[in-house]
Amino acid sequence: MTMTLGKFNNYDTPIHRIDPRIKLISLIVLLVSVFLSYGTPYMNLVVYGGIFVLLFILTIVAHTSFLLLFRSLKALWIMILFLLVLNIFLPSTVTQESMVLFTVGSVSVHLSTVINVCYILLRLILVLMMTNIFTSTTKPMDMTYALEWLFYPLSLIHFPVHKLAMTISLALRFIPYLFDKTNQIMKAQASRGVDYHQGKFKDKVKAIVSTIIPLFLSSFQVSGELADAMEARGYDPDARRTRYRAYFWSLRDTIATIVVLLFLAGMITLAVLHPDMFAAMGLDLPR
Amino acid sequence: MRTKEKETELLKRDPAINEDSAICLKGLTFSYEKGHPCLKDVTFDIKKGEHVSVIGHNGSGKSTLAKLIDGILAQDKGEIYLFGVRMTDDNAVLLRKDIGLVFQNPDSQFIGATVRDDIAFGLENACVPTKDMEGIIKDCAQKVGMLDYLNSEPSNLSGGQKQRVAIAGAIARHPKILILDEAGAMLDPRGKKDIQGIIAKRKKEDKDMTIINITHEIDEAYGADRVLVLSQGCLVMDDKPSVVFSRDEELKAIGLDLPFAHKLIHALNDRGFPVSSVDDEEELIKQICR
Amino acid sequence: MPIELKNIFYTYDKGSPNQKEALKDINLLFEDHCYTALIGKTGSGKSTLIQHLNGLLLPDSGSIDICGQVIDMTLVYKTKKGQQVVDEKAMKKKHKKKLKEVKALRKRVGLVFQFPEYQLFETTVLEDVCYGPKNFGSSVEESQKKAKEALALVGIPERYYSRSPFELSGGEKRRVAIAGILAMKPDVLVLDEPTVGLDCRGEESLLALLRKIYDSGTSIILSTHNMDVVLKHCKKAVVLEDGRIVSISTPLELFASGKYLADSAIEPPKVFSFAQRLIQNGLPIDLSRVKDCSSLAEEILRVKGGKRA
Repeated sequence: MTMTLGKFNNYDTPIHRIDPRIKLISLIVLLVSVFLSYGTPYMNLVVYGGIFVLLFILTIVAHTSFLLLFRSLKALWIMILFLLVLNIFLPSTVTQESMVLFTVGSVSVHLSTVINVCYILLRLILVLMMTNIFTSTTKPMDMTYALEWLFYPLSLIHFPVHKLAMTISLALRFIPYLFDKTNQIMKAQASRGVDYHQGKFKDKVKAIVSTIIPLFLSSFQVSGELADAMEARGYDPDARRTRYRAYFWSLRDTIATIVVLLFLAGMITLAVLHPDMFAAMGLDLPR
Repeated sequence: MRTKEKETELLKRDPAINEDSAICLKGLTFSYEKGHPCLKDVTFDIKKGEHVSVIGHNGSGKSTLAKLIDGILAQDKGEIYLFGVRMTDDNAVLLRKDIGLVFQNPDSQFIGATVRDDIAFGLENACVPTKDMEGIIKDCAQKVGMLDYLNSEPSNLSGGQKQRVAIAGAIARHPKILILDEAGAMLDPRGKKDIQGIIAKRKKEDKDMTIINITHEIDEAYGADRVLVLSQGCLVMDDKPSVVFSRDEELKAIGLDLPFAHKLIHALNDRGFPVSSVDDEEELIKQICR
Repeated sequence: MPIELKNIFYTYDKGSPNQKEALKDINLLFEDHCYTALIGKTGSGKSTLIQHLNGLLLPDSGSIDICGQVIDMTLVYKTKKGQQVVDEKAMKKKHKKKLKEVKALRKRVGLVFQFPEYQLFETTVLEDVCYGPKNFGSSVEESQKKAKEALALVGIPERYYSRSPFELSGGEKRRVAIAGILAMKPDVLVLDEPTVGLDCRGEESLLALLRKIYDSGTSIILSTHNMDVVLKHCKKAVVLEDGRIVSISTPLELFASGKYLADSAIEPPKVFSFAQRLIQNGLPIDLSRVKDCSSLAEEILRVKGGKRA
């Protein structure tokens, strides 16, 4: 299997050592801040730039690969192009007083359109960066633990939080296995002359069917066996269990939480008040 | 929550069963599909500390037997007694605490994300306090020779290593009965040998542990105290290995392999070269070279 | 049809932190009508080598001649700053071009994977076996004819043809899967650990089937951990260790030398070591005649000159 974006990297950095629960909260806070609006387009860019610098530092500290990040962006280029075209032709994004940058034929491209596309792109990059940092510094089981902890209040209304967490962790555990299995089946079918790359539509559908059916069957078998193995080791979804991995809430974690919450508060304040820094400085930027 | 009294009530021994019985089956019958019984009227009694091998061809009902004893499946007819306690729907979970069961497929019984977490899984279920777990995990990993791999993920382990972890997971709960359901069938010769070595060591170090080894490797079965032979869901033989393997013709008829020495003796006798049945290969060499 | 491998190198996940050199400088010839075993412990490169034989994997460098069709991936060099370096671009181009050519190979070299029963997917046994020939352009009637021949060869009775392959027993499923490959009428049949998971009876009948296929003129190449199979059936044994070939010999020479067996964690067959012990005890056994229990018994009788003990 090749390295993919967001796969856990086994380093020991300060980011790796942070409690997964705090990382999850921070991730949510950052996501929220990215999707808030801070008044004028220029203010937005300033805030995004700030978050970008923060994430950039974190990415380096966490030993996370930039290369993979750019590769995944490359994979999204069609979407980016689509966004650009859509924004140019959708008049709703053009504000009346917006400056016309240039005109191609009968279509004029406004400055606000370009800024709009930049936002979306920036948001996308920021979201990718933060999830990448989160997933590459947090082990899957810690992630499930954090999710379980976050959803814990739901168990008060009898939502099966523990079962959900167990399901997620088992799914994560078996993803590499399913990858291998798929690969194996595709090779077996290729040996029977299946061509996954070229051929008529009908043949391609058949090729997919010949892969999916064996994959489903062996997945069912494995899940049956897994259920037996879990039962044999005394697993009872409704019974009380102890926990091997203990997570202790330390002072450092409390401080980190306070910092994160202050950050969120700051961002919300910024969004609510949306002060225009540039206007305050007496600058009149083109729109 | 179950109360202590209720538990004692559920685990009441049946005085009719022998004191030293670990697993006692009476007329056990089971079928997955109606009309196609997978096990038919199986009756036997395994004593505490006995090492028993169960052999039979594919589809003879060996694996089903293991699941029934562990209470994962429920029988259609007949009784299962573990240490004299009759298994019911209510106490199956309690009785299972005394059984460690290792399955065939190394990939589908690795539950945790790493070796440590996988061994811990059973301990978490048994509500072992967190502070005690690390010691037990290390001890069990050491017993199966996986101490250096505690942080490894399953995708970086060989099939044999995964099976060793599965054994560690099974013995972590200190079961009184260890059942291996073709634990070596999907492994290479090295992996099979490792598993056999671990079983032999367990047997030596924990004399009270009852071991049931389900296999189709004849040489493995030879090392047991007792051999049960299943064919088409029926228990057809139940005796000491030397006695079972002397019934060559019957074994051959149900499609089972014979130990090498027995095969050679047969081949020689068929060709008019009389050698008497022996269990010791040295003795056989002496007879041939005489 | 011969297959020749020259200087084959192959690395998994090249350029990633977990890259693994799986094959290192493999030079090997599978002659016309051979019965060859590939031996080595798990991870020695057997499976990787096997996947090169029908073009599922293309070597990073080296060339393979499969029944006259050559996959030439010998390295192309270019001069950069006065130094000879591999021209990666040219290699990529070569790789792409070859990838299109290899499909035809799959028909000539039939590859049966470990647990081939996992490739079954059609609604009936006959349909499933037809799948291969159909993919290679046979008409419906033609593929059915080929499928029926293949099913007859592996010993699946006609009444099974319209059944679902998933209703069959494990051994039967494996036979149907092998028939699925045989229906393409390959010149060479390659099998990855064909006996794993079968019981003694299933194993015996599968080996008898392979013998039959071999006798009908098809080459057989198999990877296995079962040394009894190697001694009894194979003409040649290739031992792989850590991606390299460490020995090419007859099974007899291999087991008699005992040289690579300890390293590869492989034990000689019981019958062979027993025969060796008889020799140590003064019985002049001809090891080349010992294949299994009955041939050893014959040999003992021959040496004893019919003398009765």
